[in-house]
Amino acid sequence: MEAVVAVAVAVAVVETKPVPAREPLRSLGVGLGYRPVHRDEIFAHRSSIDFFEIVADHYFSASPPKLAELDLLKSNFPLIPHGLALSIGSADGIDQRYLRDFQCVVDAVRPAWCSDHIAFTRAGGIDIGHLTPLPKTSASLRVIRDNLRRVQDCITTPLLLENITESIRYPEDEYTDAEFLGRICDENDVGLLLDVTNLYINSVNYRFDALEVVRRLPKDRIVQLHFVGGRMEEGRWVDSHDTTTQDEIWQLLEAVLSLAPVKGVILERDEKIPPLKDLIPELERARDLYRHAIPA
Amino acid sequence: MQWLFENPLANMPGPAFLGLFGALLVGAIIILRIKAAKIEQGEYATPLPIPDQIDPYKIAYLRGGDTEVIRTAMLDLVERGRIVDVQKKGLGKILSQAKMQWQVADPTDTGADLPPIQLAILRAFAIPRDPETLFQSDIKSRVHEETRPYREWVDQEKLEADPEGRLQLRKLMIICLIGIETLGAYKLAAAWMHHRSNVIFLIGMMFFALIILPICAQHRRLSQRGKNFLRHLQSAFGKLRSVKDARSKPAEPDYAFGNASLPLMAMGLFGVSALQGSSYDPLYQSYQRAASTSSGCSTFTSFGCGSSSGDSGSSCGSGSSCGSSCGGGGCGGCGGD
Repeated sequence: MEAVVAVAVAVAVVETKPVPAREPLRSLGVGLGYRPVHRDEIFAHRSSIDFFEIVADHYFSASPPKLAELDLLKSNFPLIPHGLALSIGSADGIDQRYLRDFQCVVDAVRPAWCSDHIAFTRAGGIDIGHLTPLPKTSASLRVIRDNLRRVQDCITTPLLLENITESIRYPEDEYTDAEFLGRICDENDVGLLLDVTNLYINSVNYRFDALEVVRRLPKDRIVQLHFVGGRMEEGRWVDSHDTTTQDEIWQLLEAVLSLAPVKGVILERDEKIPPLKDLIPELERARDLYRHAIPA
Repeated sequence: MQWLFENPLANMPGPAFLGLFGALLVGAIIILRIKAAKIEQGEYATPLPIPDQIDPYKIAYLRGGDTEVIRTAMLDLVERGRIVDVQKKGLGKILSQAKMQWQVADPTDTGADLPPIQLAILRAFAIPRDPETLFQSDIKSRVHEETRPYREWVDQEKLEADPEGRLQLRKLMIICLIGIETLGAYKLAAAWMHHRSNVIFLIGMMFFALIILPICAQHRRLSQRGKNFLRHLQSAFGKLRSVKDARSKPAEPDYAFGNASLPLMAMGLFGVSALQGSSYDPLYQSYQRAASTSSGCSTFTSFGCGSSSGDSGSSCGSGSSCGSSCGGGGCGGCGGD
C-alpha cells in the first residue's frame, strides 16, 4: 500500500513539475545570407549587416579553411544555421547522419535559432536533390510531427521551418496554406521562417491572396523572414534568387512586418551574386521597414 | 657533518640517481610548459570582434610591438613621398650599393603636419640611412613613448600574455633551475667526496637542464585572445596579404579603412612581406637586405617571435632580428602564428 502511495506521489510530483518556459527570442535585425564570395567585403559593410544566415550544409565535415571562416564569422556576427536537406517531410524518417552534422554546426555556432524547410528532399532512400513540396494533409502533419520529435530530441535550439515555392500542388490537399503552416508550428512548437518571396510567388502562380495567408497565420510563430527577387519564366514566377527584390515583394514584406513580431530578416541572394556593396541598398531598405515596424 | 655525504641520496647508485634526476627534470619541464600554456591561454575566452575602423598602427603594434609600428610609419612616409630611396635622388653612385638607403625627399621638410611617430621617423632620415638602423637608434625609445595608447589597448583587451603570469613563470623557471642544478651539484660533490669520477652523464644532464628549462619557460607574446584577434583580422582581409595582387584586381576591393590606404593597411596587418612585388618593393628589399646581414632569431621564431623577458610591450626584441627571419609577415610578423 505504501509503495502504491509513493508511486502516486511521485507521479503527482512529475505531473506538477513546471515546464521550463522558453526564453523569448532576441531580435537580430536585418542580415544577409552569407556567401563566401562576399568574404572580403563584409567588414567594409558590417554596419549594414546585423547578422548572417549560413548554409549549415557547407560546414558539414568542414575543411580547416571553412572552419576558420566559421570561426571568423561567429566571432564577429550573430549566425543562424540554415539547413537544406533535413527533409522534415520524408515519410522514411530523418537521416541520422545529416541530423548529427546539422547538430554539430548548431553546437559550434550556438545560434538564437536554426532553420530548415517544410519539404522533403529524400524519398525511399533516394536523394532528390531538390526541395519538394508536401501534400497539405493530416498524413503529412503526422510525418512532420514524428520527424520533428527526433530533431528536437537532438537539437534543443529553437527550430524554424520555412515555406517553399511549390512547383506542384496536390489534388488531395486537405488544408489551406495558412492552416497547414499554422498547424505545423502550433502542434510542434516550432517557429516559422516565412519566405516572403516564396509566398508571393505561390500566391501569383496559384492565384490566392498572400496577405490573407499572413493574416491567418499565428503571428507569434513568425520569427524570421526571407526575401529576394524572383523572375517570371514562361508565364510563371520562379524563385530564381538572382535579382533585386520587386516592388510587390517589398509591399508584402512591409505588410508582414506590420503584422508579426519578426525577430530577423534575411536577404537571400543565391544566383548572379553581385558585389556586396550592390546589395546594401536592399538591406538598408529592409532595415528601414524593420525599424519602422519593430522599434528597438 | 659526515651525514652530509653519507645518506641515501649521496650513496644512491649512479643509474638510479640519473633516473631520479631525469624524472625531476621532466617534471620541471612539464610544469613550466603547463604554466606557459596557461599564460598564453589568458583568462578571456570571448573573442574580440573586428572593429568598424581599423587602425593599421594599432594592428602593427599588436603584431610586433614598436618595431612594426616604426616599419609601418616608414611606409606611411614613403607613400606620402616624404622619404625616398637615395638612388632616386641621384646619389646612388656616391653611396654604397650594398645597402639601399633612404632620405627625406625635401631637406626643408619640418614635418610639422605629421603625428609624433611619423615625425620622429622623418627626422631620423635627415641623413641617408638604412631603415634597419632605426632600431639601433634612440628612435625606438621615442616611438615607445608614443605607442603607450596601443600598449594600454593591448593590456585592456588582454591581447598579450599576462605580465604577472610572465613574472611568475620566470620565477618558477629560476626555482626549478636552481633546484635541479643544486641537486646535481650536490651529487657531484658527493661523488668527489667518495672519489668517484664517472659523472659525465650527470654533468651532461645538468648542462641540458641549463638550456632546456629557460626554453620551456618561453611563451608567445600574444595571449590566445590576441592571436585569435590577429588571425581573424588577417583572415578577414586576406587579400591584402599582397599589395600587388590586391591592386591588380579589376576593381580594387572596397575596404573601409577610414583614412588608411590599402598599402598602409596591408603593412599593418601583414608586415613588410605584403609589399613584395608592389610599387613599394624597394622598401621590402631594404628590409630583406638588412635581414640577410643581420643575425637571425631562431630562438624567437621557434616560439612565435615571443619573449619571456616581459620588460616591455614590444617583445620583438632587437629590432631587425624578428622581422627579418619571419619576413615581417609570413608568420604574421612577430607574435603571430
